[in-house]
Amino acid sequence: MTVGRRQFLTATAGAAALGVAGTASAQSEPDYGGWFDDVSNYDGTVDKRGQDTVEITVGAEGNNGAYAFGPAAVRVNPGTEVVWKWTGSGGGHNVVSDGDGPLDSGDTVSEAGTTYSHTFENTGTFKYVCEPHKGLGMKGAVVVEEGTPGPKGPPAEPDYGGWFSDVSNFSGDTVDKTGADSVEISVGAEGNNGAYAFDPPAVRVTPGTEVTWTWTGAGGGHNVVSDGDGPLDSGDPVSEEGTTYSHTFEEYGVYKYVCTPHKGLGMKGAVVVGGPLEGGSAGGEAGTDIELSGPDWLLAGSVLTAFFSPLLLAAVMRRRYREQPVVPSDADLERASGPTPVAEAEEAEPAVEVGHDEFDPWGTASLVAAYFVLIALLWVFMYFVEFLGRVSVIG
Amino acid sequence: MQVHNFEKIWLGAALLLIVGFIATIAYGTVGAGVQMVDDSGGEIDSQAVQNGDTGTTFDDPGVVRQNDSHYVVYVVAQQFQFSPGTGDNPIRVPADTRVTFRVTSADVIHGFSIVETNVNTMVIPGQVSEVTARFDESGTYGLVCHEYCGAAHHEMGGSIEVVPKSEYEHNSTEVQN
Repeated sequence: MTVGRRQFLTATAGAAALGVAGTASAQSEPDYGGWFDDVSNYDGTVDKRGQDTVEITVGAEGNNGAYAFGPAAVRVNPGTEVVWKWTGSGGGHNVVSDGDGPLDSGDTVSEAGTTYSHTFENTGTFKYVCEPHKGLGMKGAVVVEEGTPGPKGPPAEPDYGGWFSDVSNFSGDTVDKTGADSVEISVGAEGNNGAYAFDPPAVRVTPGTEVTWTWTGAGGGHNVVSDGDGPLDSGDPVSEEGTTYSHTFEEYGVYKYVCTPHKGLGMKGAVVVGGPLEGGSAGGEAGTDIELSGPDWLLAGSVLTAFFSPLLLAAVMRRRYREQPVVPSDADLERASGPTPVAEAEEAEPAVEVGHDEFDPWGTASLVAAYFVLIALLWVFMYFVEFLGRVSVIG
Repeated sequence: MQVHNFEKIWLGAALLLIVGFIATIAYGTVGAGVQMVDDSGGEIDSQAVQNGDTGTTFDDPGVVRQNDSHYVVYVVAQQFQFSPGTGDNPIRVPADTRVTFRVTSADVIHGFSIVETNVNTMVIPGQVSEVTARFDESGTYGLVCHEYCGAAHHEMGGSIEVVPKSEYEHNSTEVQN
């Protein structure tokens, strides 16, 4: 009997999972003390332990331009040579330690291909910046640490980060298909107020599994495209029933994808490859829990208060009314006996009678003239400037 | 009946304004050459557009070069994107050149409006909307669907990149006819 690649990977993942307990603490994200708060391309610390040389891009895309280090944070073993390599984008950059530190590449350089390297012998966290673009968020860190990369794989309950908040057919469970040879996801399943859903929206598979998307033919043209950078791209939307698209997932991770035309309707999905790291069974995401942040609470509170404000007002009025001593007032008497008769007003004689010939309409005339001027101006600007002045349909 | 002189004047002026408005539109059509969108685009089977088997350029929409001074852009509108146009697939056309947009829908009624221009048409399934324009200035123009077409109508948009004629390189892999 031969051992298939998928089985082998499963076995490896299982063996790796056994080692989790020992290395779990090393896997946790270091506390950078807010260092990366304004760094747009920071997405966790990339574990590069076990490599002799590690390359970091200077002038990578990020921070609203080519003002980033890519990756912003890396984890390396002591003795690793870290090489910074310039992309040539974003103007002159340099690599200088934040405060006292070993890194100093000197004056800023913009030339593509420039390199600067440093070998980290001691453990610790080394923060650095590009001096001219520090204010834009061009900051990085190298974490020097012993050890080897822990097993990679998404946790039992992946944090989709609100990805499924507008997906109607996502029940909160990641469907566990680990161990299955092939996994099928239907495209154009019922959901999101029409045939605008992937079913199941979230699946967990073993690395090496081929996932096949099958079109139902409903809901118009759909496609399967990774959210941001990713391996999935089925091309232009198609609607034909029975169309399939498949991809074999080799790497651990959470792969989010969308149907481009129906993304706004909630036609989104995710494939979780590997794991779960903790627990034997695949757990569900607490996707149905409503988590409210500070401003959300404020908003929700305000809306509720506004909603109940008439009741509050009524309660206050009632209370005040009760507190008043009950003394029949004139108004109460009037209410009881009906209104007192009102004397009819005498018709006033006009003070001055204006005859037709004496009517002097200069005021009216000038007002009308002003209106004509206004209309003429609007006409000229609207037609000749706004309409004809623009790119027009000429055929 | 006596009518005051002033009243006679502004009645006359009002009539003059109406004549002026009509004359303006006549000038726009005859003098400035502004055209209305008509049925010149012809008809098409929207189901075939959806399936991509119309046998026309709509199966692989994009920019088609007629000659150096005339390009035709085939655009398919569908819920909820223009192809090409939406996302990182903008329509690229040269400036100072006749550009004819031939737009059709694969599903429901959409709109095709190029922001800050007078290029503005409905896109009706089964019908090809044809508008021709000339972009004098290069730059990026917004493209929006301005006919309510479904739940994500507000997300349906795109862009048109008008590049200087000298810098425009037509992708030769596209169909030329």
